[in-house]
Amino acid sequence: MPTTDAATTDAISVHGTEFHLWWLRDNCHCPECRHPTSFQKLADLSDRRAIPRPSQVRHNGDTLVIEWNESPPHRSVFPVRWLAAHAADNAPGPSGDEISPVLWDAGTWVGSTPVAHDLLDCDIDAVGPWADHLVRYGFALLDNVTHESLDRFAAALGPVLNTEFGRSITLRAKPGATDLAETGHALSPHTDYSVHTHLPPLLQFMLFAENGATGGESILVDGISVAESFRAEHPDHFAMLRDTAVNFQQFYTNWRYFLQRSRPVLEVSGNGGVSGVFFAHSHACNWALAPAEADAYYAAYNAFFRYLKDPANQLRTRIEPGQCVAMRNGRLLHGRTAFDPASGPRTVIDVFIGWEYFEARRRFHRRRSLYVPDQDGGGAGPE
Amino acid sequence: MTSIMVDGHEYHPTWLRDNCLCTGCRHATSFEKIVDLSTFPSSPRARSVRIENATLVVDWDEQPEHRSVFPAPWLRAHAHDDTDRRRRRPQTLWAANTWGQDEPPSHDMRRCDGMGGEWADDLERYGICFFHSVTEAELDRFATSVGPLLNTEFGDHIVVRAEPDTSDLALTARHLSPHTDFSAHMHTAPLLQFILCLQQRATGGDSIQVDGFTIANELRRASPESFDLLVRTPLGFQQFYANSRYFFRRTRPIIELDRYGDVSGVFFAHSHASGWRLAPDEVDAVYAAYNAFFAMTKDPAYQLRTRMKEGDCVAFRNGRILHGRTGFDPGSGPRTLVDVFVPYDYFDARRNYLRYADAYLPVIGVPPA
Repeated sequence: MPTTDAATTDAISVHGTEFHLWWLRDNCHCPECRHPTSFQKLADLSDRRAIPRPSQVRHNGDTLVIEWNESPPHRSVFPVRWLAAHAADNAPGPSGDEISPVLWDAGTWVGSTPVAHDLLDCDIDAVGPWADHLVRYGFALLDNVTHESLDRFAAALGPVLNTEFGRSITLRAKPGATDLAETGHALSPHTDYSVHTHLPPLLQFMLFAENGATGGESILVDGISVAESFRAEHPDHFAMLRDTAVNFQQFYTNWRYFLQRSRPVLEVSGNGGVSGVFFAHSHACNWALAPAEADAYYAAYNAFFRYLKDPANQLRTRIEPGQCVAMRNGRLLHGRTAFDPASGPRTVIDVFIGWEYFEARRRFHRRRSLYVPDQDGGGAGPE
Repeated sequence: MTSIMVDGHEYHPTWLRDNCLCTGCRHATSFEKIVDLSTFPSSPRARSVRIENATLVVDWDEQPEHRSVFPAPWLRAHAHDDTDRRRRRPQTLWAANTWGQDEPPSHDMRRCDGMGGEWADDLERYGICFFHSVTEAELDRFATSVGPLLNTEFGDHIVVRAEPDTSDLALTARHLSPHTDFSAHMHTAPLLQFILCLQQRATGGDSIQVDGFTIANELRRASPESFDLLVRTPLGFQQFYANSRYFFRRTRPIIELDRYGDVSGVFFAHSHASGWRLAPDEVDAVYAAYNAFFAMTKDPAYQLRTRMKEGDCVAFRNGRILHGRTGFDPGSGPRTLVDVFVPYDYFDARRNYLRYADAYLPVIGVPPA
């Protein structure tokens, strides 16, 4: 067991990775520093002026043990697996998920329509084929679904979002609609809620309870795929949509809400990749756009909008009654062709949970062995 | 392209065409946009522009002919250079001595209207307001009248009391340093948070509130480098829940600025701040900035400390106001609070509705209420 006198440097090296003394002391796992059942931090270094120093450091294959030069003495024990998973230079993927997104366009689905997963086979632990499909393509098609079974399934994954419509939204064409979705109009590809409100990206379930009207084909678009092609062909337009916050709004007379949010259409993560697309033409009002910027902005906006409406970028499909699309709002955009309400009933039921509940379930299973050591499973890759 | 001037504000023709209010361009009852300029062969051009009876009338150079009519109040509400927009949101930053020896004013929730009123003016101004004589049923009714309740992994009413072997530090008797809920380790929208006191018979357990905007601005003045670091550096926040099988993790800066460079959000929770992925050469500076901010949240000069009585309720904007408590002794008596949340958007949307209803309702053809 090697023993190091590390009092002269500000970091400790473990298998070639540097861990800073401030960081190690702050992340001490002992029950005084980290509450043992909530895993929340109790240690508080804010009254310290000097960097924490060890009096002794021991490192064997599995564990780093630090005796801190404190009064009373304090010992930190770090599993090396935990350190490896939290190393600063252990660059994680965008979500840390072992499934990487596959960007798609209309051509992806020629001759290979998306698999429909029977809801009875879908695991509420956010693992298995349906969940992998959702991570990979941004959507999954579920089959054999009723309003009741959908509510139960969604609630087992995460808390169902209450909206101004309630716990679910039943969409059919109706006179005097205060929302365009409740008409027979075509809806161009858009994301729900996260443009004109500050709600986070959502896992949206869209169940087709009835689909007997003429028209009303569903349109799905991989926004991240479109945004990456758009960047390759129109880098200036791309930068404009990434850097300019525009204004989305919805004025509801029935609930007396005037919802407004300013945000850029395109969101880019720390590694430069597109991480989110937030767009809804029917809500875009752009009130804060200076006249001097309007020509350039509208050129970019209209070019991107044409990409979204281009059938080459769309999966167009007629969803059968009892089928449900689960999608990651913020990657996927959805829309529909117009339908004739007089030709037959078309009823869509929307249920939402925060996308991060789905993500947090997957992360739980990847990571639980770092927190609950008795259980099996969980790797120690980057997070 | 020449802008069109109305009452001293400039409007670009493309913007006006995009926002045409006619029922062919806007759906009449949802007021959502239907017109799609991306299908137009060229940029919109006005053939004639005139202002009559406080209304802008534009005839467009199009086939078939198209006319847009904009009432002046609607245009005024959407002027890009409306510098009043910020001033319409009166904001008073506060510290421990703002209310002197007095308790802040408290409202009777049974007489408050979910549409607005003095409670809402207080909440907008101070980020916090107080209610008395509240029951859990009354809180549920009132919060729901403001907007849909946030459903969380604990449900839509969170009962906070000391429990054994709990998965959340709030459910212990421990001291909680000032923090924001759900928005540091999660992506939840900024929230309007209600805390109702149902039982207060334990020794300890005083409430602490801090105006995050006050301390962020104070840090900006005292240590601009630390302030900039906290604006620029995304820090990791996380929560591992063994019972509900979630591992939440979010990386975000503590301080958020708006487009004018003003502080618009403060998101902080020391107990969730872990697993930061910092290069070793950033560590000293980031910890110095973090600790300076954390120390300010704990400085009594910025803390409003109150002891809630049974039936007292506090409402505040999570994302501006941080809240915490002193530790308490669960053996000395029960202490039970209930948390209820509504996305702050809905509160804001009501303020907006009242502010702009006169500009919108005539356009939609609804007589103003």
